[in-house]
Amino acid sequence: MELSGEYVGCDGEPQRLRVSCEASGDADPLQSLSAGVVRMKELVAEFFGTLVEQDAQGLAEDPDDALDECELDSTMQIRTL
Amino acid sequence: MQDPVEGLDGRAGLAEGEDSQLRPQAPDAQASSQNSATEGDHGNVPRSCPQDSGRPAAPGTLATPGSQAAPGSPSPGNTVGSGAAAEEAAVIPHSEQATLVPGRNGDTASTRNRHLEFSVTVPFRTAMEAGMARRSLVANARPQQVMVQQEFTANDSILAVRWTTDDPVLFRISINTFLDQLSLVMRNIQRLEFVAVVKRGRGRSRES
Repeated sequence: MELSGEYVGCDGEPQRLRVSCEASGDADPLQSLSAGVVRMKELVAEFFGTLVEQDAQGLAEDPDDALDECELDSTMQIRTL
Repeated sequence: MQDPVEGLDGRAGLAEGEDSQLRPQAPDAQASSQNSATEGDHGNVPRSCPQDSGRPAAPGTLATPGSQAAPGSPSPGNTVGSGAAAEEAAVIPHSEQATLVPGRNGDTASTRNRHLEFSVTVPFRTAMEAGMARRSLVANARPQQVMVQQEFTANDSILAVRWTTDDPVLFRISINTFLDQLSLVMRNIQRLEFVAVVKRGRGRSRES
């Protein structure tokens, strides 16, 4: 058994998170899965924590570019209409 | 002894009610998919605009973006601040957008690039457990679907959940909430099994 997660960002590249949930001996498979969920929570927190930081840094570094992009998008929308 | 059964029936009824309520959302889903397609078409624009071409080089060297921008599109690069530049920039991406869409299957790629996606697959032991979990989690997820789109699918004993949004912060909140609820659901399933085992034991003792 494997608990898996996959993230697809703006670049379209998939990034996978995997947690093995093998039951050992007489252990209950559902119990192993529960432990896997806890581990997945840790991975998700770490993964998205880094992602949010990168996103925040990107916005802080290029505020003008972000604004220009929004203006350009608006212009394109108007022209498309 | 009947209370657990009644409780399950009640929950099943609620779950079915939730499912029936979710069904009318199909037109909304189609509308959202159409909106996504539209946004996807619009999402092609940032790829071809001069600013996007200049961005990769900016972190490295400041001089490089200028030299790279000139060969590609000298006019927009030279007159960034004027209205004429905006018009020229608007026209070039439009033509490039038309040429890029057929070759790259733009709708699909643009949709993926426009929104962030995260999916989780949970392998239960049986289809029944997966179905129980899906019904419970769908009911709890309804309030969150206003901001983050969530899709729950139970295929045999596999539960698959997919989130779609454009904000990674919402991702983290929604996924953490789901995982917390998933843990609770699994705990409840274990308790139900324990109760069932106890009942079987009592039945056997009475028979003997």
